[in-house]
Amino acid sequence: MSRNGETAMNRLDQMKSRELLVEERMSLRQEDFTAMSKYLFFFGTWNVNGQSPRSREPLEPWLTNFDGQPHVYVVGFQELDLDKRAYVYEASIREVEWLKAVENTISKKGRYKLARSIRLVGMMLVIYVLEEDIEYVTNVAAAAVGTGIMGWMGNKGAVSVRLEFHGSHLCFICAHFAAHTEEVERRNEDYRNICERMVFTHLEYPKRIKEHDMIFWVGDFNYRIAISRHEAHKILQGDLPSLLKDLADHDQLQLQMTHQKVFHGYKEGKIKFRPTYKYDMGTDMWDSSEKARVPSWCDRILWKCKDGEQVEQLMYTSVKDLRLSDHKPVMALFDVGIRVVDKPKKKKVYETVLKEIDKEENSFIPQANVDRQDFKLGEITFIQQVEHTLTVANTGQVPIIFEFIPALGKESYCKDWLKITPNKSNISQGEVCYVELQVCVDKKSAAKLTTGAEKLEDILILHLDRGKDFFISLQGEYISSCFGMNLEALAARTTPVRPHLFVKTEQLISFDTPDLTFASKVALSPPAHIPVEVWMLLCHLYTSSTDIPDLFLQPGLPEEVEKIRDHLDARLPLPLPGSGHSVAEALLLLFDALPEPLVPFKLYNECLEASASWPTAKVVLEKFPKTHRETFKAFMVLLRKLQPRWEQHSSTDLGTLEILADLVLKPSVEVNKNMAIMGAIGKGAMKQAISRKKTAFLHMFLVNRLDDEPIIPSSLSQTGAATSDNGLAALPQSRSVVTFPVTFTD
Amino acid sequence: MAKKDYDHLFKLLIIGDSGVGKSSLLLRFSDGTFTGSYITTIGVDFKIRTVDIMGEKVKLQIWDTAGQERFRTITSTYYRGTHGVVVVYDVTNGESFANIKRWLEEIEHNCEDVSRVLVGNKDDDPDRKVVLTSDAKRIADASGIPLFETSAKDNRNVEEMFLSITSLVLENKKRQLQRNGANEPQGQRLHEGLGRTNKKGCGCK
Repeated sequence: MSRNGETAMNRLDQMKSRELLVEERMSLRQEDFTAMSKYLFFFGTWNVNGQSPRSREPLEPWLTNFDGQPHVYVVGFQELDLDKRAYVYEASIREVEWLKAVENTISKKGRYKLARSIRLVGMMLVIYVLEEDIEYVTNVAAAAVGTGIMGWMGNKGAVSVRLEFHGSHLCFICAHFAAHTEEVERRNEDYRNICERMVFTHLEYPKRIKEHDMIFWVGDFNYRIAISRHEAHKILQGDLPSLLKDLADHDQLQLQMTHQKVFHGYKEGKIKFRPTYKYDMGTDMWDSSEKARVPSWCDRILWKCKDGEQVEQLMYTSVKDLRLSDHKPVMALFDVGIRVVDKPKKKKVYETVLKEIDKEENSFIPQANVDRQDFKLGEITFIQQVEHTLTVANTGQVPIIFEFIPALGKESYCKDWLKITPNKSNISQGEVCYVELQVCVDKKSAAKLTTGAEKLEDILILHLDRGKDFFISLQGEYISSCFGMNLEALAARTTPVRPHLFVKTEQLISFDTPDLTFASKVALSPPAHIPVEVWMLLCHLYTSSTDIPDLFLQPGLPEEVEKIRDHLDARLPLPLPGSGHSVAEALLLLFDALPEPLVPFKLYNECLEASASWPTAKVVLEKFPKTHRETFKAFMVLLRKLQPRWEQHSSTDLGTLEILADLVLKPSVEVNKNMAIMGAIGKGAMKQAISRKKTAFLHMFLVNRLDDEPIIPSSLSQTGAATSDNGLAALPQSRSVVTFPVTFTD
Repeated sequence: MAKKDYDHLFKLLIIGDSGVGKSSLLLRFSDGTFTGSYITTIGVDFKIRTVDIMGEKVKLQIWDTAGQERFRTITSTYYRGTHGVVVVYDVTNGESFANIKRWLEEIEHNCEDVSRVLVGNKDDDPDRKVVLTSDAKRIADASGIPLFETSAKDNRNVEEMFLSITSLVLENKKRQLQRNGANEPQGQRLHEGLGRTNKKGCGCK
């Protein structure tokens, strides 16, 4: 049943971002599959003031003059290109020049691969990784934020690269904040702006700067030393330790950080180098121009890491010997603790996490229990009501909807003889629902069960929406009754249908019983071709029900009808138990349950066509099988007795006749289907016309008499039998043709 | 854009005689648990499990069916849309092994192009084992399907068996895609662009 599968699959589809959940759980267990390992990182930043690298000024002092081989180079530039065209054009000659210069220089340390570079106007950030480590660099993404003119132009702002190295999530930012001593607040604003707007969107799940294990900022942050030039120069005359101390007290960045106005939570190594700005280009002389900038530590390197991460700065300095810019370059070396993944361990943890989540997902599949899956119905006969209760309990963690569904290729979810209430319902967590299973074999299913074409068994499918299916079996034995039996088969029977019904009773009768009452003999000896059970019903009604109002209209009592059923099935002596209404209903029920109606299916249309012509009707009747014909005629005799004046019928009588005609004249299933296909228009009128014809057909047999109608005894006492009443006396010479029971006159 | 939670979604079906341990195999694989008490499955139940096959995430929806003969007609309708079938017998029950033939026929009858695996469960007590491995191997080889002797109780070979059928299904799917791919240029020549849409549309993820 794929549709069940599909709905369940859809549900699983809807479970949102399972992948995120996996990632989250994995990071919680990171320590189970990673080991911290130290890696040497180089960080550098230089505002090159639009200059090209010069061959006579090699970059070694900045990039390689130290011990050890960095695994990663992170190099930032500002004012790489001051050409106005760099604002507009993507390409920049300077970019290529500087990349080449860096590459050539660091190649002396080892074989490096460019992991990523990004440039926004004058800001450029390049990341090189040792060739042997490059395979452990994943999910590399870059982004840029402009904070310059109009708040977004790229002359100021930041470029950034994030990546995962083994299992550590790293973020590098190269920034250039607003210039001028008095613009402290602008610089703070630039920082906030960058943090807010920098998003790495080219990832499966976009990430921001703060969503990393370790974050490193390099750049020309432009914070100044807020003292007069005169004072500054005085301090700068002193020896290095004292000048560093004196200037540090006025360093805007340190002050702003102390006041938590910027770079909150970040660290910086102790500054042990002279201010990096501003020099006369090509010299180590302080700015001698008119502007006479106060020397400042504009160029800095800061970092921040999550608890548990290990970052140790080994070196933090500026490079005095590079003179092509009005800034000195700055560099730092770090030992960075990288979470190196143990692949087999990671796979194991990953599988555990998947299993865990699968288990949770499984626990949210609707679950239920049923108290029984096998119902033994026992012996059941016609219209006998048997009820069972099925308890469905919601044992899962979510509300459930259950429904009985048909097996594939079946139209109905249960057999005709079963009624399920409710067949569909929802149950809250921990609650139960009682489902009534009502078994009752009626006219719809009796015939098939009587002939053995079907058995009294069924397998129900109780389906939980988005969940499992239960199979519920029902099994019983159908005990055949005269109801639902074929008329011919019934007529041919010499023994009761259910003789074993009243085993102990002496009422059990047979033809040979000497003390058989007169009435019983009458009832058990119908004219040829009329089944005993039908004859018993006819005799009973004929002799005792003429004065009952609304006969055939008012329903009988179910328990009385059941008693009558048993009485007939055992062929017990007349009278039948119960009221006339019940007996009348039993008769109609018997006709209604016939597999082949009183008017055989194949003669149905002919009868309708003959409804206006008595001679034709008579001819059609001759075509009936004998049993059907004789039973039909006897039925007409009964009706005439019950209502002698059919010529002057009242509307009630016609109503009665219409009901009876519907029972006697039934179209076959195919004809009925054809009717159903017809459009709604005309269907009503058509139905009415057919109904009129049916009634007319019966009516003809009530107002006209046949020569050979069977005679029903007018009394069940021996004396009464001799006296003919109206109904019988009026019959002309019927005796000659009717095979009246020989046992009648004893 | 969020990535799909899985690369493939497969439906597996477990069939075999009543009492061979179909539900136990499923429970062992999906929940990692085993309960010694026997409850007949009267119906059809499923569980999910996600596995990693060569770096590809495969979500399995595994259906456990009632094994009783009287439900055969109903259960056969659950074969629809199945990618792989696990046919189980009980190594301590010769009759369940004899019935394997019928179960394999059942697959033939109800499925097209499914991967199969033969499983002899309850292989945890050599004294009670009546179905010889060699006999089972012969049947498996004749049908061209792998054989696994498992124990849901001792957690032996269960994981391996399910991963094996999953790999088979995955390989089968890739073969199919390749076949479809091979037909593509032809289609493209007839109707330009059609091949591309086909490619997008196929792949029964």
